[in-house]
Amino acid sequence: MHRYLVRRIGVFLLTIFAAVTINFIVIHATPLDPVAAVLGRMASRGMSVEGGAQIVRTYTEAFGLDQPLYVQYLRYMGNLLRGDFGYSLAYFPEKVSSVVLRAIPWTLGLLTSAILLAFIVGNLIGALAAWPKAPRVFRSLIYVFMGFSAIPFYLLALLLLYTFAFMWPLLPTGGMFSVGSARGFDLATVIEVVTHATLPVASLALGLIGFWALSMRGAMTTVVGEDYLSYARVKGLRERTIFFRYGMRNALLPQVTALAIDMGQLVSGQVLVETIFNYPGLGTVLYNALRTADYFVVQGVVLFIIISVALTMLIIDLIYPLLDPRVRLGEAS
Amino acid sequence: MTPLLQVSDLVIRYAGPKGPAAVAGVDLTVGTREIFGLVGESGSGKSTLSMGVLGFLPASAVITQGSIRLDGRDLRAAGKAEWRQVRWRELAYVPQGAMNVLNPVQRVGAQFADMLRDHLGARLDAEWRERIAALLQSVRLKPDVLDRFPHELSGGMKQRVCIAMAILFEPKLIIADESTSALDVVSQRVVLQTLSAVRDRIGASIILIGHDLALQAQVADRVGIMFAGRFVEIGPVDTIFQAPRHPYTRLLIASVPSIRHRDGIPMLAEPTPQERAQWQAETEPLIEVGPGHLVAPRHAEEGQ
Repeated sequence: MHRYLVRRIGVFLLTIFAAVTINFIVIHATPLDPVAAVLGRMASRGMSVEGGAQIVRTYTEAFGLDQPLYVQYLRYMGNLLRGDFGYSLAYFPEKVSSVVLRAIPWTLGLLTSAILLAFIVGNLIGALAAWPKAPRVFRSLIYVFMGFSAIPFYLLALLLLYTFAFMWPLLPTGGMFSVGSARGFDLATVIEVVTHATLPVASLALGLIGFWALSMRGAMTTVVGEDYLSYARVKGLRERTIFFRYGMRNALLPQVTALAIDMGQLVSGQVLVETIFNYPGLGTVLYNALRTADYFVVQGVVLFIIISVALTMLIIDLIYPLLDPRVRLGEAS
Repeated sequence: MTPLLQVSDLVIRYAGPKGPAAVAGVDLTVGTREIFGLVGESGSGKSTLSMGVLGFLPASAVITQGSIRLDGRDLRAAGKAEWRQVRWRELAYVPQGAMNVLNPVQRVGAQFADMLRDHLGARLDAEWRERIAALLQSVRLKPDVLDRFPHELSGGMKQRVCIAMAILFEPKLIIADESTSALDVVSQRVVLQTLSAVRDRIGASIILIGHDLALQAQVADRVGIMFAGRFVEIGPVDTIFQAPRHPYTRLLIASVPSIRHRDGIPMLAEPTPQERAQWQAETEPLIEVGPGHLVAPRHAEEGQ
């Protein structure tokens, strides 16, 4: 158990190291010139570009962009270890960490709500579709949600936006709360935040429900034939007990593993969905950073995504033995 | 003998009301505190009969005729609510091969707790833990199995956990379906002795289903031999062994190995196709040839 833990955390750190390195290489291999982009923006705002050469030199030196790539890499890694993510090129002198930290709560809120919503609804529908005594509606419901799964996140987002914010203006078109509304921790603010998050969350969750339902139906079909389920019936247990504790509880095991894999998929969808709804999360930050060739912000966002996905996998790996007592840590080869 | 279970003229068919009858007109009475051994080859209808009594037939099976009464209560007419009353509190079951009947993700204690909650609305408190510990002791298990997961127990231990579960509410009738078939010889003996002790302790009747006549003989009071959906012979266990009438019973007994008699015994009690067809066609009710000894009428004079 102890050795397994050490090894598993080692793998976790190695994953992050590798991903950060690849991230660094990829972004420096792009033909974008961040300093030229800064100048371009200044010019477009009508600011004077006199002494442009001076500015270029100062910026390049300040950000170490004149150094050989391996020096930049070592310096970047060194800074990371000290928790320094560098400055945003576009919002200079704001630091990357403050840009990213500001966006994290919104993204985490969106992401966790979408994941939980899809996981719970999808698994319930799938389980009921395979349950012999459940209403037959659930069997058809799977196909409805599979239809949604076939639509990409961003199209679904546009579709929902058009339907519920434009055709029937029930929900706001974007942002995290209405402009000019009070921002305290009161009920009105909570409602504001929830209504603004509804469409983005729905865009992300709707497409995932079908996948969860389909795989849950498969898992539940196997469980329905198990001896312990018939035995629970003969014992005269209540239907609800049998369904949740004997049925779903067992069928959920493979689903939890899939949850970690699902994270990565969702994060990529999140970027586009946030952009469409102009939601102030990491997706929008990433989108803007890419547009402005803001190297360090891109690196910061991607680093955060890598860490959160790797961390989720680590946590799920470590809690799995609690869900399935037959799995014991460290005994797998 | 006060009758506890009375099955009369029961017919259970598969694949619809006109399909083949797995149980083709069965009359059976099991008395209070009696251990009844139900013996027959695979496909003879013994499991279908017991599932019919338990009200747990597969969706494809249907009772087309006859009645089942438990302690005066008509089980065929029982609705859902009445079944929930009867199931487990009056009528319990020890499954065939307990390898996979316990929920793999719950501790044994939690599975006891589920039964307490769903049947009595009770919680597994200290008092119940003590009572269940005593139950476990009576099936020769230590109370700490409550804190174990099923995969931490051996096959024989799981089987005994199932027996403890079956006697939790002191039911009137326990049906044990091939409860020993998946176990080694030593565990088989322990399980059978446990069942026998349970009868003595809580006064339950037990139907012991199996295809091993010799094993049944160790604990049963009476045995019934089923063939092709019917009983061909029923009688006290000694009578059946000493004076079997029906040729199929004799075939079964002849295939039991013993210390003195080991060579030249048939591997299987396998009748010839002609015998099979002939016995299947005999649908007359059994007649009594001795005290409590019933046999198909055409074989009443045989084997004496």
